[in-house]
Amino acid sequence: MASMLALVRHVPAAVVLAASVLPAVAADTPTFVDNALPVLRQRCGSCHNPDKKTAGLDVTSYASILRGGGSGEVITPGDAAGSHLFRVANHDDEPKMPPDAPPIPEAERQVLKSWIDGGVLETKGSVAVAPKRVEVAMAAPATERPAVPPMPGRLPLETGAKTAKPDSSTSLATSPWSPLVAACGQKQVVLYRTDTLDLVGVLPFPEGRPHVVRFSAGGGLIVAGGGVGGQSGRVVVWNLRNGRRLCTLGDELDIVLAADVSPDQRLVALGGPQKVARIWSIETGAKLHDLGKHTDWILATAFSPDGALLVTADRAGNVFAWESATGRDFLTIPAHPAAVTSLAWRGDSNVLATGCDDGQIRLWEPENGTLVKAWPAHGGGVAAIDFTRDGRLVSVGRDKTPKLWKADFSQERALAPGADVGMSVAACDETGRILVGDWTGELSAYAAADGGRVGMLDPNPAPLTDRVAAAEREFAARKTMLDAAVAALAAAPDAEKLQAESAVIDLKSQVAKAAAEQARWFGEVAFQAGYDRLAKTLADRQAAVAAAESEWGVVEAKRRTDDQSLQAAAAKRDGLQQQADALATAITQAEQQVKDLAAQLEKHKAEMAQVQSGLPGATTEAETAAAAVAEATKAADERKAAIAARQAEADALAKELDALQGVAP
Amino acid sequence: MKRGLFARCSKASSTPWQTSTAGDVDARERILASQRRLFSPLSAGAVVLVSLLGLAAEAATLRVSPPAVHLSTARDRQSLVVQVVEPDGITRDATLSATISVDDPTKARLDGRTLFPLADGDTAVTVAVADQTVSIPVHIERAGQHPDLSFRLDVMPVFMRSGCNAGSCHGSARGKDGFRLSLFGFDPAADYQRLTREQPGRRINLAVPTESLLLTKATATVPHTGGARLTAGDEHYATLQRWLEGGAADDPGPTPAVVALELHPPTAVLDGPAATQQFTVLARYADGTDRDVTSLAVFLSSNDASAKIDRDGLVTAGGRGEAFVMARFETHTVGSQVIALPENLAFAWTPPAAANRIDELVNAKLHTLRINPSAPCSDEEFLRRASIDIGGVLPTSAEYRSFLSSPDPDKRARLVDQLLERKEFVDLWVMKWSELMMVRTVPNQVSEKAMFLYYGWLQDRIEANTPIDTLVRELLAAKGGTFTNPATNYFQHERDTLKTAENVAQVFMGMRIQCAQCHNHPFDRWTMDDYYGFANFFAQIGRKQGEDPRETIVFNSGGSDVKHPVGGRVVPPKFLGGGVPDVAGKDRREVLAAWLASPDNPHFGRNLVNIVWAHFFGRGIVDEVDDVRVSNPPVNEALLDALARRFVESKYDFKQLVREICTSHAYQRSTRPNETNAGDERNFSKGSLRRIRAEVLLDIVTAATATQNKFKGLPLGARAVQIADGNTSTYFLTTFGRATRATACSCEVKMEPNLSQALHLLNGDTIQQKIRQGGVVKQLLDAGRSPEQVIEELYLRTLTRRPTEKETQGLMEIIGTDPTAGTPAGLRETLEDGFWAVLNSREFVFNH
Repeated sequence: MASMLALVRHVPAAVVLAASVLPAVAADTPTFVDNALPVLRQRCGSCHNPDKKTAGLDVTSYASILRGGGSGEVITPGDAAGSHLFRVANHDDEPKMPPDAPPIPEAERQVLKSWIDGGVLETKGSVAVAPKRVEVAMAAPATERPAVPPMPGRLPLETGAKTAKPDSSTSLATSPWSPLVAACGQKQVVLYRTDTLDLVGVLPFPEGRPHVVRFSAGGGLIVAGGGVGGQSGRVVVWNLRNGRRLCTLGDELDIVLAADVSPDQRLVALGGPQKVARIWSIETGAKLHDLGKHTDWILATAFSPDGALLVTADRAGNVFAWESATGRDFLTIPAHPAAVTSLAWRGDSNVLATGCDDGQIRLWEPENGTLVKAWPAHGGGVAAIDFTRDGRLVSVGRDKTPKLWKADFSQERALAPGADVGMSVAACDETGRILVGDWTGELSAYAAADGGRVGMLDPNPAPLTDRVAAAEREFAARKTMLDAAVAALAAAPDAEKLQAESAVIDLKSQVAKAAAEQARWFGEVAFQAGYDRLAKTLADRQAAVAAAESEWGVVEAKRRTDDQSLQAAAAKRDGLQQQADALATAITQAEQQVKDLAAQLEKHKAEMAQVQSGLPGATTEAETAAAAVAEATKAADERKAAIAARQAEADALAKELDALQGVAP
Repeated sequence: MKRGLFARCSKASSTPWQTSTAGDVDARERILASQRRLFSPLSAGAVVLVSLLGLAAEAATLRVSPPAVHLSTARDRQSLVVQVVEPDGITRDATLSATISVDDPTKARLDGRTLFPLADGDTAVTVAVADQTVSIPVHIERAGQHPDLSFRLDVMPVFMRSGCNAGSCHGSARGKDGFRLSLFGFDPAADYQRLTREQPGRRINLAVPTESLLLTKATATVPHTGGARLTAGDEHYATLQRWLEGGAADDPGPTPAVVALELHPPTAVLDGPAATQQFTVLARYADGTDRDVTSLAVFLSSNDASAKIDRDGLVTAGGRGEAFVMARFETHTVGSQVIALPENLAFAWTPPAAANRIDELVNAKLHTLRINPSAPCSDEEFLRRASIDIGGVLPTSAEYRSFLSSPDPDKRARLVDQLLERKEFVDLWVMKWSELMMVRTVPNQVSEKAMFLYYGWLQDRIEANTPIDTLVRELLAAKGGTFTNPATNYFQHERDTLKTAENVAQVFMGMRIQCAQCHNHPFDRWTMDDYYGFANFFAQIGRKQGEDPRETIVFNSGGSDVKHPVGGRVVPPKFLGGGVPDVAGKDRREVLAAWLASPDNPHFGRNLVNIVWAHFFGRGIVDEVDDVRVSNPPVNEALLDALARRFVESKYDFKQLVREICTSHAYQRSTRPNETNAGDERNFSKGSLRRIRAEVLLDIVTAATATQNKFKGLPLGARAVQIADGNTSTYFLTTFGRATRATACSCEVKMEPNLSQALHLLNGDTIQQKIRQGGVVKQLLDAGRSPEQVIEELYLRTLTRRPTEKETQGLMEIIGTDPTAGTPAGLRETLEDGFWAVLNSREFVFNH
């Protein structure tokens, strides 16, 4: 365990905070992330969120708000008066938002207006800092006792103001390997030792009211889920040793009702009235999975001790088991007849117990979801259950009586009934004690061995100044009594001297105790002051780092932009240059062609001249020849005519002959 | 101007519409006594006399409410309302302008118009307006006590007031987003559990109460679909915050219940739109204390157009009309009448003659509303109207002639008497009662024999003019076989206990208590306890089969009970609006019947006279007749009360009631409106146009055409009103809205005209065939009548009047120009066409 804890570096919480939310640096133009988003989330997010998406509009992210909703875009960048979103928020247009309520405060409307008019910037243009990894992972789930019990160092005990009454105790958790118990208070989680019942730490939870608190399986982390009912929900993870925050996860629109941390300390599961369970990563601070099968509020969620499964339970009685690594659904446990208020795993991961509002506790075998055992535990409803290390069960319910069940689940013992309905229970294995919280806010500690009450815890401890004042008063009172007793001793007759002496001795020890108590509280005050001073300096330094980083971010962004311009200009120039080169080549080629053609032209002209010079002579020859031909033709014709005449004579003779011979022609 | 009338009315006891609550017989007596005081004949007579003589010259009177102030414990307070009642009846709200002072300032202090206690003792408050002063006694006790906030008394009313437990919000059956409150707070114990312990740690924050979801959602600090219902820091927010700071505790023991609620002032007559009147609400508790709950009550108006009431009880007048403004607190609703008149209305009241008490009361209301009634109808109109309403017949032409020509000044009263003696009158009312008793066959449940015996029993009783109370008692307590004692059929056709109880309440008391089966009635005073207490009277009806398989024996099984669904407990039988009788060892139905049809049950008489009134006027004094509830008051309470009282005193003499109604001038008004009553449909200022109901219409068509009908189960020539079985009908009857009698609702009989009806008369086979078969025209022509005489006869038979010159001329013209009219057959056909036209006219189908 020590080696594992040594891996936990003291990562300043503010740095990890910077991973998820950029601090608002003073700027001219409002941005979405810094200015508009908080307003939109608070005032609009209950209906216009990714799960519910009323009218198709989701305002919780930059991309989706620009995309708009079912009737189109809602933002015209640069023109708030013309943007539908601003107009309905300002009650200029129907439907007036928020519906059936007065408009949101003027200041918030101004924020939206200036954001839209300023051009709907998303962030300051800074590049998000790469989230630093939080090294808290354990190599394997802790099922063995660690060498050093995970106890906190000295933690500050300063609380917010003490309220007149405590609120109902919604959750108790005990550390698996140390005598510690954590309880929910008003905007704080209080840590007590279960052996001495002393207050050992107060962890502030300014996000609202913590509703559920859990220790990790190795005992090194405390996780608390809560928020402001109807408005926001967060889960905070603290490092137990130094009480400093590791991260704040979750972004719910209503209080977180159920939360748990995985045994390997890498995952947090949370759920609430939004009906969707979510798994977030502690290392990166990002959401990993949404588990959306539930139809009603998620009231309980628990990782199995071997880390393989996550089980979630809701108000309609549905219980689902999921693979914690992938978020895929694994098993559906048969539905319960009433709301399932609590879940608990036995240490060997073989039995899952569910507490239901019908009063029964049911045990399930998680591989196939078969029911192992069911018995009526508390009339009216079971409120909380917890397993001990040796497989016994403790439970509380609406019958006000906490009960302890044996390993075979028959009733071992019923503890003394509380003042009102029981709400939370935790078994401390280190001290063998059972802690019970009820509706009036009373936290009682019982011994499991005999069921006797051993003490009460105060979920609402007084601030240090009050403690100091009370201790001083007590000391002063005792001192006065001691002085009186000393005086009485001096004045006492001999018969009573012995009595008076013993009285003085008693009082002296009481005074000593009161002095010690007073000194203790003085010491706490001093410690608190020193702690606060150092914590503040640390916070300032971290803020400075963050500021420097964001400035760097701004400058870096500018440099990048300029670099891009440069690239663009260079590219343009190169392009033009190429064009110029290509054209030059083409021109050269064309000129060469022109030269060749000119040469050909000359050659043909010369040939033409030659031919034309011989032309007249040839013409005269032709004429002479033609005359000769004409004469020859004439002679031929004459001869032809003579032939014709002779032939005609011959023919006439022939005819005469024929006639003589009497032969028909 | 009858100044005296209104001054007297205003000074007399205040709220005729206060209803007493379950179990509080004394309260009922008190109220009925106050009403008697208001409307005793002597005082009214004195008023009329005084005003006639014009002797009274009364100035405006001052009315301060409440008339006495009781403050107990330091948290109590009382707001005052001052009203000036002018002699002409107009009221003015002087709450803010009056000078109010406390006689002894050490005992009580005045902040605005609200009194707060300072020290125990008695003092008085003086209210002065102009020259009038009124002194109101103030009694203060336990002024030093600061009691803790109570969940039931202080926190629950905030939920109702802010609308949290309304039916559209968390009061719905499944609540909203998993948070459910009982509808209008009928289950405070469960509401407490749900609010504090159903989702522990979620809805309330005991450490920092202002961060509780209950408050942050109610003020819409966090998103809330229901909007902002409270404002941070206002009175109701502070109540919830203080309750949470005290640890969100439940009441340690039972808390006193509200026994009565009063709304002050009881009436207001507002002059002109934008006139206002402030109201204040007083709740009286069972421990004798009272409490100003104006800031906790929910206000409603029955007519927003005439009078709107806002969240703080301020009424603003609107257009002319009458409204009933109501305040609702816990399970009680109470109302006041508000009349809005046009500003400075110039109105001349022409006092109409009054034939009897009915007229006096109707006219009084009209006077208040500044409406002049229409003139009386003509003799012809009266003859037709009375014949149809009383007997379901049309007068023959002979009857017409004799009535019109009679010089007797009392001939109308004489006609009424004659009609009352006819058998048709009995038939008509047996039919109406059959509808109320749901006389019909039900396959495998009520055989024809049983149904006929049931009908016969009813007919016997009504023919013998049995007093209605005797009849109802016999019916409800009936035991025996359905053949041997036919009245037991009432329990054979409806076998479900709860439905039987609902039917009895709806028919005999005029109240629809159905809503109260699952939650307190949202608009009336009935709680689930009332419902199950009443239903328990019918839980011990045993049924077994008789020797004849069609016969059922109804007996008293004595033993079972109906369980209240919340907690499964048994509510002992309790009269609706009455007390808890001793039913040990007795037949519960007998006990119920004895109470129901007795003067101890004021609703019985009122309901019956209302049913009869509705028959003659087309609209009851309470409309609908089976929807009597606090939020639906009678338009003229004095009239209904007087009629009911008379009816009861006359031992439920039905004929006497009909006689009084039909001889009143109110019944005999013309349907023609005048300029003051043109917009009034509710106050009987003029005759009402009513479509004639199906059976009567078929009968008069049959009679006018001298034909006969054959209905199943009846001989030829029987009339439609004599059909016993609700399941027997014809196309004509169904089209015209005959009741199937499957339910006891008054809406079974449909009187609205519609297109199918018009088409059936025009194109269907009823009119055409009857004209042809009956041969009336043929007979008249054969008897030697001329066409004009035939036309006149036809008009007399159907419209009970002679045709006008124009009508005769028009018809004669058609005959003259018709080429076929020369022959006898052709003439007959043409005249039959005229007959057809008259039968299709609206004047025939409507009662006017």
